[in-house]
Amino acid sequence: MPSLIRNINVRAPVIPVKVGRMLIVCSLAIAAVFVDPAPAMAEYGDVVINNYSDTAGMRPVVFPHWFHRIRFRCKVCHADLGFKFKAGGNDINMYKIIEGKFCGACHNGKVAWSVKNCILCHSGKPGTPIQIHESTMQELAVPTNPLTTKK
Amino acid sequence: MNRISKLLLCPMLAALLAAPLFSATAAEPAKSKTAKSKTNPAAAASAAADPATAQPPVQQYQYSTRPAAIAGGANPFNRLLKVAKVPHQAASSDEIHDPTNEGSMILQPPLEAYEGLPQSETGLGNGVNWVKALDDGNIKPRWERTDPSAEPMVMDMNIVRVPKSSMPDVVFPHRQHTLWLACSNCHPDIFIPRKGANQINMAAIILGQKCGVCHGKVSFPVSECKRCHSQPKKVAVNGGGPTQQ
Amino acid sequence: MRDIFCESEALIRRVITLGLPLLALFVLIPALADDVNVPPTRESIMQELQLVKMLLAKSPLADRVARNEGDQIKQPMELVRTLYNRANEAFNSGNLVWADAFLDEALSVMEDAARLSSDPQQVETKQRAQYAELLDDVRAFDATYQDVRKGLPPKDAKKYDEEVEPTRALIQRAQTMMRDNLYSDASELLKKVHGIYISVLNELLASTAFVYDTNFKTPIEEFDYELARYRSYEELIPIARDQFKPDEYTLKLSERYVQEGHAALGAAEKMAADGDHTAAIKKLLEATKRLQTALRTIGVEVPE
Repeated sequence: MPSLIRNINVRAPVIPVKVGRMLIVCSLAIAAVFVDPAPAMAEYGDVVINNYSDTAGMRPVVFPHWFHRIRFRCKVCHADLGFKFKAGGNDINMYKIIEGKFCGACHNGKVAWSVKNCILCHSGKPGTPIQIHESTMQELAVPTNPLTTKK
Repeated sequence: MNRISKLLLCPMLAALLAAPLFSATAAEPAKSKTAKSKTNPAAAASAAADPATAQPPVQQYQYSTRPAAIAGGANPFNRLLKVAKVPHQAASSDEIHDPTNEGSMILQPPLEAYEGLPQSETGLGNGVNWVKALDDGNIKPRWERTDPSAEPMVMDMNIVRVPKSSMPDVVFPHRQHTLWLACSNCHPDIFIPRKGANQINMAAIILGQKCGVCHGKVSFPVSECKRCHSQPKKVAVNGGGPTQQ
Repeated sequence: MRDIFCESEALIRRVITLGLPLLALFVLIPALADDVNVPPTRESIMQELQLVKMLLAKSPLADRVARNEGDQIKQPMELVRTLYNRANEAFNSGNLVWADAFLDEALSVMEDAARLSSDPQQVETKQRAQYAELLDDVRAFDATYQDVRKGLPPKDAKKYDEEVEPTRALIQRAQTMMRDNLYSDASELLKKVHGIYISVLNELLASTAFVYDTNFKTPIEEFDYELARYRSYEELIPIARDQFKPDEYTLKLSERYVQEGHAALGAAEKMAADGDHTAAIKKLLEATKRLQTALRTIGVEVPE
């Protein structure tokens, strides 16, 4: 409608510059909320532990070595806490954890998060067999199905 | 000018708000190591490469190849050794995390934690040089579970193993290992602490025995030949004899 | 017209000034959450309920209550059961926050009960095992030290002997303690011994290298070495089969190579028994090559 257009002072911004800038900042803030910074990633050395999870109807546990290595040396878990060098070879169950053995030595709410945070450990795809992610044996011995070939 | 800026703003807002739709696919990490993007001149060769393998009619396993350049030489063994093609995959697309589990999405992504840590030359495994990170003080992992100030009892002693083949000698450094491990982790269950008592070969390592108990599972994989085979063989001094390379 | 725009501009400004900090806070919340504060969702409560139910039914604590051992765990377990029931009711009536709180308490009570009443028999076994391991380690260190000591000049040998001397007394004391069932104290003493040996050996061996080369003094030595090498490959065959799970054809083929290897080994051993070690070694190398071929057939990369 011509009359409306004529009345607008073209020089003065419809949205002032300051507001425009704030809008941009806002949108970036919104973006920061919604754009996934990056979800957890599978990393070399992640151990999928699935001794009892499938039968119990829970997702298998994914244990990330890298995260723990940054905070503890190998000896703490593998000598002091009794973890054997074998994926799935430690017969860990929830009772032992609550008792303070194995994972429960730290995951008791004091050194690290407590046992009530089920989904943080039980984060694997149901049915994933016990494995060490990207280990040499896994890479060599797992026959590649064309449908699941890595990109 | 202002309408233009307004016009530009709207699609930008729209794009940003639609970002969640892209984020799942965009989460393929940009940090794929340059090593992996090198072209594979050996690709064609490897399929027919292994002359020693008998030819069963069914080719069961697809061997991908490693560029010879990574191995630091034209060692054909390394070309056949398969390693993970796409590391650090996002939980929404990797093979082990369940993307429908909220927990999988809350956990810290490793690449975030690796910022500032010295990287390994080839980017294999985690891609981080953990020993260097420890020596440089970038990480301060505890030696005792509840005592942040406890120091490890480091043993500084090297074992040099001379392989039968033409590969350089292997230097096993106790120092780097005792920074992380206790003596009982390896002795005597995995390695008998006596000269000549341990037969180690690459097949055993690949099958997860001896050094392969850790290397190739949680420590750097054995596709990085030079990290272990680090000492050139002593050249035979006898005049006229064939020099070992 | 301009008034409307001005007003809306002012409104926008106000909204943004108020809204932006709120938005920033919203954005920052994940970063501020130091300990992971997962708000209770249906799924997570269900999983926790399942956990407590399982622990009430199947744990060693439950077993001990069922067998009427340990009065001190009966009460906590009763409490856990009550809390579980409350949590279940809360969950069924849709009150997730209360369910979460009840479950937290139930798990805490159970944790305390589990820790206080840890099986003394188990603890003792573990401590004894730890002591045995430390003793083994200490003996191995002593053997290494004695080995290294042989090559030392007498003055140095004396000096290090003095440093190692206290270990004898400590080991004796540890063994006495074991007889008195003071397991963890004995282990602590052995850890001290451990430390002494490591510092002595570090001084002696610092930055030295043991070279394990393949120079043999006699053909017999070389034969023994090659035999050990053959055995080490032989051990790998079942492991490889288990890992690679080859098909029937490949399995048969690898088995044929293994048999050929065995045959060659037999011949080599016979030659060695007859005294012809050089030929025996050659035959043994052939045998090992056969095993390597078997491994390659199964799928293992074997260099050389």
